[in-house]
Amino acid sequence: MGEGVEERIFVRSRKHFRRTYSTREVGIGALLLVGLGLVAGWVAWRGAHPDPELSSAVPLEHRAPASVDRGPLPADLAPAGWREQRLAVFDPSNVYEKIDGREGYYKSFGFQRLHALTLVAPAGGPTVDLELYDLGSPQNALGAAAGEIPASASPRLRDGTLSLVNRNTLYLARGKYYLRAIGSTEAPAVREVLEALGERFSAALPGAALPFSYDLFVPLGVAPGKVSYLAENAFSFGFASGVHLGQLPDGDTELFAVVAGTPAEARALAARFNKAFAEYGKPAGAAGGVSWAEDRDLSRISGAAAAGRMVLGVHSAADVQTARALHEKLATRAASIPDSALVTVPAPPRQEE
Amino acid sequence: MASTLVIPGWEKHRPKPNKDGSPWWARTFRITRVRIASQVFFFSLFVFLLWCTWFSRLRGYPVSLFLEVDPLVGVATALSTHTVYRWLWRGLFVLVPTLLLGRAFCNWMCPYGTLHQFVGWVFNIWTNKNNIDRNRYRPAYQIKYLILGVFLVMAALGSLQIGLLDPICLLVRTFTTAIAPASDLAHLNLAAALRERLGMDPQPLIFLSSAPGAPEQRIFRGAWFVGLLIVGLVGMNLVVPRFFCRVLCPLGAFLGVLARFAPFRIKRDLTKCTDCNACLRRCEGASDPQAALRKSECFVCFNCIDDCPEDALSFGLGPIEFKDFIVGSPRKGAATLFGRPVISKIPETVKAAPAVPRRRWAFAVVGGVLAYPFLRLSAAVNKRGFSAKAIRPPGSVEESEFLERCIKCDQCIRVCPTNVLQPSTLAEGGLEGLWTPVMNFSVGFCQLNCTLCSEVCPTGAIQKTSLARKLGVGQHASQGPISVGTAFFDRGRCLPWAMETPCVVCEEVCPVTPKAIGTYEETITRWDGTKVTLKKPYMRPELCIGCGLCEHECPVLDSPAVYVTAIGETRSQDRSLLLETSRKSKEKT
Amino acid sequence: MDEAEHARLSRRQVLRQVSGVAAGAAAAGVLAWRLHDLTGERGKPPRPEISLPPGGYAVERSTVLPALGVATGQSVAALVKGAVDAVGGMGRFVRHGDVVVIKPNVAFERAAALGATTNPEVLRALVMLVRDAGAREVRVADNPIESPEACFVRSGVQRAAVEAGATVYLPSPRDFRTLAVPGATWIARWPFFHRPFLGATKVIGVSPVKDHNLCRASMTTKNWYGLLGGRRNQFHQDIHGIIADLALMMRPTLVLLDATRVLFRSGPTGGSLSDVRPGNTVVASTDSLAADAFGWHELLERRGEPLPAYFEKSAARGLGNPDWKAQHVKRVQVG
Repeated sequence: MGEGVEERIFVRSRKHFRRTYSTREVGIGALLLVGLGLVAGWVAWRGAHPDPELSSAVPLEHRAPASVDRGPLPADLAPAGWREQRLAVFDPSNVYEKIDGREGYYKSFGFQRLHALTLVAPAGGPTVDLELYDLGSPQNALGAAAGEIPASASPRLRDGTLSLVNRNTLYLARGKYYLRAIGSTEAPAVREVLEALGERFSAALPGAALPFSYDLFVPLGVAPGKVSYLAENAFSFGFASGVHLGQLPDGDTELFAVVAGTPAEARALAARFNKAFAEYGKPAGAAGGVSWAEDRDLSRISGAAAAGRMVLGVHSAADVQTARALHEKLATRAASIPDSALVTVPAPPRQEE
Repeated sequence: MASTLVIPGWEKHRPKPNKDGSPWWARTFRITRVRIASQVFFFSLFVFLLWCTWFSRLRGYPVSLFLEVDPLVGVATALSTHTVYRWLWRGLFVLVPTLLLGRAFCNWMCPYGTLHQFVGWVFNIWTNKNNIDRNRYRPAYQIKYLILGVFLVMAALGSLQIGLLDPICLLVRTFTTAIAPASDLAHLNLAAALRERLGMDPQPLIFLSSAPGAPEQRIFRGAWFVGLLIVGLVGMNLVVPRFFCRVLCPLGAFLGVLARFAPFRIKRDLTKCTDCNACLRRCEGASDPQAALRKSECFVCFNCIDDCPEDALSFGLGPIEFKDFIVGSPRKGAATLFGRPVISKIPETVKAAPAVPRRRWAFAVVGGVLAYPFLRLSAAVNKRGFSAKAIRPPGSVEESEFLERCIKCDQCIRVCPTNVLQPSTLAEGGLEGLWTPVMNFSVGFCQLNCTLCSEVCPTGAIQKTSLARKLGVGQHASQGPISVGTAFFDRGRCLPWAMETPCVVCEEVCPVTPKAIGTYEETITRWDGTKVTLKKPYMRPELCIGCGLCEHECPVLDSPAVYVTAIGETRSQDRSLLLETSRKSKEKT
Repeated sequence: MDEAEHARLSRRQVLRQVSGVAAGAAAAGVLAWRLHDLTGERGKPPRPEISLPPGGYAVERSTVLPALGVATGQSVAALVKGAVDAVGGMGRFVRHGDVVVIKPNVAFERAAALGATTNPEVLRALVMLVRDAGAREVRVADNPIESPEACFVRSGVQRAAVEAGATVYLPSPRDFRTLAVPGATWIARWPFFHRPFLGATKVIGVSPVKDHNLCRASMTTKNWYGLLGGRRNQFHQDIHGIIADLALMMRPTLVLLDATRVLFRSGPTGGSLSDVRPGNTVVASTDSLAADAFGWHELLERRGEPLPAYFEKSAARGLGNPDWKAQHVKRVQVG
């Protein structure tokens, strides 16, 4: 092994010393190669036939029972040629399987039950996902709907039904039910289906008396579609639960009302509102029996006062005079609301999100 | 035959028949060439299956195939668990041919053997004479049998350690921890270079990546050692050919013990053999074909047949020894066999059993018997002294059973999409737990809806677990979800608790519903007078599954303010935290 | 010896080898088939479960004999005999040839005077009483919280038991089996110190009267805690539920409440002589809840306070009657 050999990186000799060869050997070799081919074929076949359990979707699919109670869903919702699919019912213990992450929103509005359904057009066409929420009271249903409807849209309030078809979504609240139907595209055909669904549900769902907030706010200039309800955390105040809101056409000013148990509680609550408003700015003086506060960032005026069992307030008014005028009108209107209409919906259980 | 095919110029360039009169293709397609084709095929299949062990490529491929057909894995786990798990019966596909043909696996199928042979061949600088010397049998080649003895005895006692040196486990582990990440790095840089410098689409290079779609470069603890080991072992081929296969391989030893019963072997014709020793030139197994063939060392590579100038060697049903039938003295050169003169001076042609004296087998057994308590009682893998950071994958069986099953192949580590599974170090698991999978949440986290590790484990150390079982839904709702540990808050390091700074990333990312992290809200006035509302997180141990997303996302990187330990895991009662979990974990057995 | 002979012998060898290989392959195949385990369930280590005899170790209830026997006085031996005699005498409970397990409280490494463990003199008297009634073997067993050997020695129980002729069973890793307790909330399956119970026919519990920081009192019902292994330190997460489970797990022949000393505060470990006062009483009963209730009212003197929650849980399962005042109580005064 001389030094020169170390200079080469690869050293291979092709020679072999055998003198005879055998055709039988080649035959056996060919058989072995066929065997290898079979192995390759088997591996390829296995690759093409995966174990179905491995690519399992959410266990949700495994759970849907064969016969599910339709509940308030009308029969035969599918338009001509479409078919229904994946009917499922959820209660508070398992609703997260359907709408994981969002269920806190509905739970804060007193969620009881969800009936979900998908409508599928023929031949791989568009689909519409329907979700019908039973939220326990008209207040909650209207509040949940109002919270999801885009701010720029104007829903229609007719015969006790609040509804809107916006782009590819139908929002509908009637009685204690809130319906949301989302189409997979914004095509006109899908819109038609949504509007037809809106008519069906308006007729089929049991209605109920509207909350008093409509009676209170609408005569003061609030569009019916702009009356809303927040079960908790109104204005980001932890204590502000069960707040009815009405947005005035200017887009900023809001009227609000909260029902307390007794007049004393109402007074205490009003004081809390005023203190909370003041923390975000500075006091803007008292007028008309209300201690107004001016927001430090937006320079808008807010304040509240008790009137019997109710707390009435104005939020984000332009100046103190406007605020005071609005509040007086509000108080006058509130006086004509019978006490029986002042229903408080029990606060939902405190859920950590 | 060939005349039916008319190709211009064929007659002129047609290969000539061989000198002995056989057709040209008898030389071109001789058995050694077929063997090389088989080696290339199985090596490529091995690499392909490893390449496929990634969720986007997995489909239905039998990615653990080589581990399953490895008979040592099947036999050793049968010894330790008294069962043959799932697909391990496939070991029969190698075991039965070995009983018939000898250690053909070592040179026809084993990818590690192929690697050693290739490196030894490509960088072989020795002369023929030196090659012949290097391929003689050496007594040191007994060592692998002693290693096998120690491992099998330990397995019988309940500690499975074959994975340390089994060639398939070793190679899978090396690919996973060292080679695949290196390939990924190469891919990353090449793709970047292609894209940025040359403006070309790097997509065709994606095959180089072992983990396409992984957000970060994959890293593995202890990769340096594994890399060093492979370079060392493969490099040794330049000094001792097939060093690992001849000296260390326990699988080779196991097949060697079985090979002694094989009817087929290399036969040497005493009337033709001139004792030239040319057959040793490329003998892979160092099985002494020029004298008494050691059946337990012969790799059935057929290189000896290729090199015998006298055609004295052939492969077939081995006859009984000729010694008693020889008339005269072969050593003096004056002997005949059945009337024909005996040319070779060495009358022995076969030696069946491995050359391991009985005393050495006994010592190996004693070694195994002693090794078991010495390793098992080293606290790290016990009920009481265990490392709380050794968090096993979800679906793992409890620890003592885990150590009976885990072959340290690291398939689970390979397939894990988030890189959270890492090979354990000596500190975490002792020698027994070395290279077994543990989670490291600073690298990754356990994805909620993933059960890939349980799919690819060939021995059931991580039981095949359905998603419904892992999440504790559907029919498994009463058992609850599988938990691998519990997270704990270190309030002194947590931003809202100790530093007046809002955070709660942990609560946000907690994937279970309801969340296992809750918050207390508190509005405080900071040191600089500003008011801030802090959400201060706390743990709900009955909901925590130990997935480690919180620890992974905690911004306090050096030592996270929320960290997971193995306590509260549901796989065993030893490390449970809550009475409630104890009750549920007893329910499932 | 010619070629044909060689060929014949070779053929024979090949035949032998091939049939050997075939047999080996077949054996391997059959073995693989028999041992096959598709899901890994078969390969799990076996976890044999044991059960205590149905109905426990209780003897027949009596409508005439008193439910509680209360002995007061100075002599420990006389106290034990007096209390047991008041509920029918040891002969009612122990027959000739019985193997009796006595479970004292030896949980902590404390001298007897500190009241955290069973009084060794009470144990001595009890063992002798049991032997006099004709028991073949008396076993004294407990799984202490602290180091077993140290606890038995320092409390004096080791010496008293051995001198009285009993065998002491100290726990070691192989002595535990999973016990099935049907109907239990928490310990439906739990590691149990079963070695002393192999072949046992009667079980007597003898526990001191102790205040307890967590569950407010530790007496005869909680005494069975010392027979369990595993992660007992989780029991504190629902201690009253656990004690109710312990009452379900063990139905003893007889329980003795050792109130020769009363650890009336800082229990269950105590640690100071000022936490202990003399009680000079021993109570014997077949009803653990009645004995414990008596201990709560009369010995720990907590008449005004409601009973700890475990009384109600256990009584709801029909495991005893805490209303001892309504039952027949025989009080004796001994020397």
